[in-house]
Amino acid sequence: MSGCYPLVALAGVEHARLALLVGLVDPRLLSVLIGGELGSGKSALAMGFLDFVRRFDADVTVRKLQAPVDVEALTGGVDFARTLATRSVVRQRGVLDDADLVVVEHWQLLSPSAIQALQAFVERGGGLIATANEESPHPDWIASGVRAEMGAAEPSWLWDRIAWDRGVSRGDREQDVFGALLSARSRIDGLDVGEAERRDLETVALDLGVRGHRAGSLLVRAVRAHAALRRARAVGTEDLEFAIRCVYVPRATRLPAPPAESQSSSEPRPRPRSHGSPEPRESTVVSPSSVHLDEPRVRAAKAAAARSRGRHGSTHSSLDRGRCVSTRRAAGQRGHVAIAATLRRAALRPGQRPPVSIRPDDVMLRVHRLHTGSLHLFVVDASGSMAAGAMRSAKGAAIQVLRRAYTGRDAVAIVGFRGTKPELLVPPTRSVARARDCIERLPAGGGTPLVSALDLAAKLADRERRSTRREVRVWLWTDGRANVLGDGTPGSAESVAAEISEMCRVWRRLGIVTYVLDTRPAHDKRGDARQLADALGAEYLGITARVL
Amino acid sequence: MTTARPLFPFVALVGQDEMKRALVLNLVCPEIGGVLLLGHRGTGKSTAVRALAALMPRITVVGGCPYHCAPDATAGLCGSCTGGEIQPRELGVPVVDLPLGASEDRVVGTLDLEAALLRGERSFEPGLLARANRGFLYIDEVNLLEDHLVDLLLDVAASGENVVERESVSIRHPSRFVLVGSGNPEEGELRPQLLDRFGVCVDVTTETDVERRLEITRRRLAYENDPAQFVARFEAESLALRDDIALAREIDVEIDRELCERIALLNAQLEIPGHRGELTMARAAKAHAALDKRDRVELGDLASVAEMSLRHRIKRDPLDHVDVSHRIGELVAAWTE
Repeated sequence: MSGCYPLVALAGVEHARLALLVGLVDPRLLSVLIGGELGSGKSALAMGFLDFVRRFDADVTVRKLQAPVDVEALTGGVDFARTLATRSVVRQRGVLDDADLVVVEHWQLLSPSAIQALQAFVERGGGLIATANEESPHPDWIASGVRAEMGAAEPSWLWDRIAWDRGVSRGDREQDVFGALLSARSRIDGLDVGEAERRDLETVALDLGVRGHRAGSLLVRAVRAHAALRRARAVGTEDLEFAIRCVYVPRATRLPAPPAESQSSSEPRPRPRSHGSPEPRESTVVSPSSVHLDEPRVRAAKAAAARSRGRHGSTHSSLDRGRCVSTRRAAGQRGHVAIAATLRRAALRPGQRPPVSIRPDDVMLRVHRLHTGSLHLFVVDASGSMAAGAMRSAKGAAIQVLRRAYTGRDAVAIVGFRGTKPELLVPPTRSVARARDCIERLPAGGGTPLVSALDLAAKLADRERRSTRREVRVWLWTDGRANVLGDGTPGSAESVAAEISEMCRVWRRLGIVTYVLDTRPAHDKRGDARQLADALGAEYLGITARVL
Repeated sequence: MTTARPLFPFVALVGQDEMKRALVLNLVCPEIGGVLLLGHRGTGKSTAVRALAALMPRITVVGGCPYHCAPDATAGLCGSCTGGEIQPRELGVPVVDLPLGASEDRVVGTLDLEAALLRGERSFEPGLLARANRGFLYIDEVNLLEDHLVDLLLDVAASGENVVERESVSIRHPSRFVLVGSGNPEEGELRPQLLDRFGVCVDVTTETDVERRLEITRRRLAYENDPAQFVARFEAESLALRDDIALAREIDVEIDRELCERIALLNAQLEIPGHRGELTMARAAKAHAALDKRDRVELGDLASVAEMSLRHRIKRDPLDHVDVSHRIGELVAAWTE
């Protein structure tokens, strides 16, 4: 869904735990997205919280879900088996019809329609705890997004900190927490956020580039609930800080502008980094607005356009998405039942007499045809002297593809490689606006980690083909030379060559449609790129990217 | 789970003037052809759309008719309303939500399962397109809706009729509605064909004025605290707007030839393909004049509706940063000099 925001900032399990507790003080805040690396304890936290809630309030109906989730499972539908058996329509209730609080794991795998159903649930007053990976789409109707981080701590430390977790927490301590929650609930009405503080908070929201206005009221609620929970007589700075961390920071689209100098250049939005790893972005930054497509580049782009127009993406059968094209026997599989076809089949069964009875093997499902576009994956050598030219050329082609993607269904992704490792500069996207922003600032310069770039591209292409069933085409801008090993260390010509040939073998097996665009100038072709193309089983396009 | 609470009143929305204007114009003149709201989440798009029903007088429908046919209509009556006694009934204007997960069945309607199983009858179970007849069809995140559903909706919106040929059901029924779509272009691009079919288009942005932001949060919290009381606070203002709209619908507005020429010229200057832009702009300007209780379009009406009528029709480089609304604004500003 919306752009990926890092889930945030400074949190740690303690913070995530607090966010959940605050949600029990004010139920409107009980929608929490917990992010964190694999093994950071976020699932343990969510599950532990569920048990805690059950003990705290036995009347709460809690359900656990694991994405991907069927929308019908969430919102209900027709129970076909029982409908047939009873000969009257039996509606199946959805998970969201009965639950007060749901826990969804692997948030990032949910379909937009499932997310929409959950959004409606939260807006009706339902509670939601979701867990997701580091970079996951942050739905901004969720009250707070926090990060669980294991850090260097041992799991035993973790269990100890999660007050409500199994075994550890039963007994007095948990009763204390229950008591604190109940008294916080009774105290929250007496707390309010002053006019001056509210004004400051709105300014903070503007500084952070928080979009929309949902966060405003959630933030005030979070401040009050936090103050109530810590038994404060009045709202204080720590309450504001907590709320800003939970509610605003996950929604931030930019870092607050530094006080002086960079006022003119503050327009592009650097995304806030959760780890604060300083990334020296040296070297050239090319803006596409300065790119004029020269003739060879236009040719390359046209070739891309023509090739993909030929097939115009791909279509494939699906049991649940796309246009309905035909029917087939269910044979135990789930899907949309084709009623007329089922009845017809039952009626035609030998020995059938009125009233028509339907057996499970009469059931017919509808077959849908889903039309997907292609993904154009641009892999660009951003190192060395050819970088600027290659980058411009890739941007030019990306722009051409996106122009067409604007009317079609194609998507674009860009991997740049330089220094020690490749970087996914533009994740697969159909959104012109998003790609444009990413393309705005492509860095260049440094070593040539070709092997790991190919590795990243192969994984991306493979994943994309599996998950979206899109056809993938890879466009590789390179002079065919490399000097960095797969692990990011500089290597000798022989060791790099050995790795590349191994990589090429893997690549050929994947059978990805690939084009190699030579970044050497026409008068200085060295044949390395052609050799690479052959090794990859790719088509060599002797396109010249002119150097500045 | 929770009981339904009164909806946030339309007039209580702070700011977002162009969005509100676009929606109200469509209430005055549904022929404008719907509204597309583009912008970030949480900017009040859904709230505004859901609040529309309260601004319209109740409609009279044929009792028991799934398509909300009008009893006094002479054409466009569905199969179930032709013949037999008609029992008129009053109904609030329907605002139908089309969820992203909706299947084609649910949108278009399909074979009635119960009738087929119990009575062996081949009858039609109407879908969302039937329920939206004479009301609004709202698609949140229209840019994420599957393409074939979007095509289908646009066809129906244009023809005002839903033609069903599936599951051995063959039926056609009236389906006239104002299509309101919303979406965030950063999450997926809208196809130009789709853009053009929406009458007017508004960019909804996050409010940057601190005082207004404060008021937004204040009202939101007040509403959440006690919805009924909050709605009562704005009751008078809501009724006034509702009366204005009802009155505006009755006014027959004329537009001078000279102003029509201006519209045509503006469209030509902006190199807008097709003629939908001109038609929409003229209709919107008329509705705008009617809201101001005038029966003649003035230059100011054109200026007020120019951007929303044309911004999504300008051919533009998708990678171009230039905000096209500016160009419209500049050309319109030149009129008064």
